[in-house]
Amino acid sequence: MENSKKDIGLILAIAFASAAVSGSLVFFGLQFGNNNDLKVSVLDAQIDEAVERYVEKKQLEAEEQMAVAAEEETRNSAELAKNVMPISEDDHVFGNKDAKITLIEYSDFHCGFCKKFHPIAKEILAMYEGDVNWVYRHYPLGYPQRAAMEQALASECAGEIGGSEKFWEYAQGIFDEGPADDVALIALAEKLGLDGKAFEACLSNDKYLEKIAAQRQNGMDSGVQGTPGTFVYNNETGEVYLVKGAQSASMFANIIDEMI
Amino acid sequence: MKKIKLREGDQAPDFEIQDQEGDLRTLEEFNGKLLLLYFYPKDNTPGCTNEACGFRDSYDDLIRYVHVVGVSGDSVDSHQKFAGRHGLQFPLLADTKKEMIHAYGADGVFFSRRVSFLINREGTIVKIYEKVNPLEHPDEVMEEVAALQ
Repeated sequence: MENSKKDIGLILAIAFASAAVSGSLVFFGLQFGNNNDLKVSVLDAQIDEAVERYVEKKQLEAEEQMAVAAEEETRNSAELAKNVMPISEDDHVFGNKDAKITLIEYSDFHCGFCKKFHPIAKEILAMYEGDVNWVYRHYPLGYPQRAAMEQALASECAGEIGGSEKFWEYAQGIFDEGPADDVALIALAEKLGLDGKAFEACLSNDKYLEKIAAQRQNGMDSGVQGTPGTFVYNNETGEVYLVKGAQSASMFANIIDEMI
Repeated sequence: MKKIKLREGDQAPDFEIQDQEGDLRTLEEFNGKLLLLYFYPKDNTPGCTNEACGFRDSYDDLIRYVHVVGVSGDSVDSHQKFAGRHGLQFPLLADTKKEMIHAYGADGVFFSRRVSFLINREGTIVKIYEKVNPLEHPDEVMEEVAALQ
């Protein structure tokens, strides 16, 4: 902001000087009868050229600064990504449990882009036929608003009662109906064949509140600032890369191909 | 930080914490009255809503015997919205520094544990509810306080 003020000031100063010099030439030209038109037009062209050179130089400097900042952000992001928790027994894994690469997604059931990413992740797993699996971790953005946390708690209850398979079915069910505040959580559980009473009992004591908070904290510590935030994680080497947003399968493929 | 473990018969730790209206509430103001301090993890979660709404629904009966006060690490603003949304008639203490939560040994990893303390008129803890089922807790407390009369 300060620099752009200075730039505007400088350009105005050049323009003012240009006007002053041109005016003087015209004035003195009229006095002494010289050929002023030619002199003014040559001077104007020189001033225009100087302004253009100055603007071009400033643009180059700004681009260089942006490139340096982007490089630094990438370096910081890579460093923070190392904090992401490797897969554990607490995770719900979709696909081959022994896959070399895992997509560790930090997600929020109340987020439209997370809903958009859900089929993309499935597409990626299909592309790599067992070499890539997928882990869903909670990062409720609407937190502490009720719906985002409640839906996250409900999905964990579905996983507790029906295993990881039901967790994923439940997650798909929430996304199919959402993003919405009023997903009928117990009805959805029953629709998927889960025991409604057991589900309600699980949901009513906030059993997974600490787990969800811990996942969200780990996401934040690892550089996730929005959802979906997906780490491409090499389970053999620990190499990890954060992809921000609901990016395309081909974009993920570029990273995965480098790791495999 | 060393975790505190209170036992029945212990003196209840003092507190001075703002409620959802921003008013300071102390243990002293409840001297001479039976008090239930119920600690819960977080405003607006399903369990905490069930528990608070249970106390709300039983409030007219409960208040004949005992004062009910909720405590969590949420802010005054959060408590105000939570209490307003569900029409809660009792104080919710905003222990944002988690000092009271720690003093009562109610600390969890990120939130307060769900645990309640029944404190008699002399400020002594007469009952600790370590395993709280949010749906059943208000009735459980009602039975206990009625029996104490």
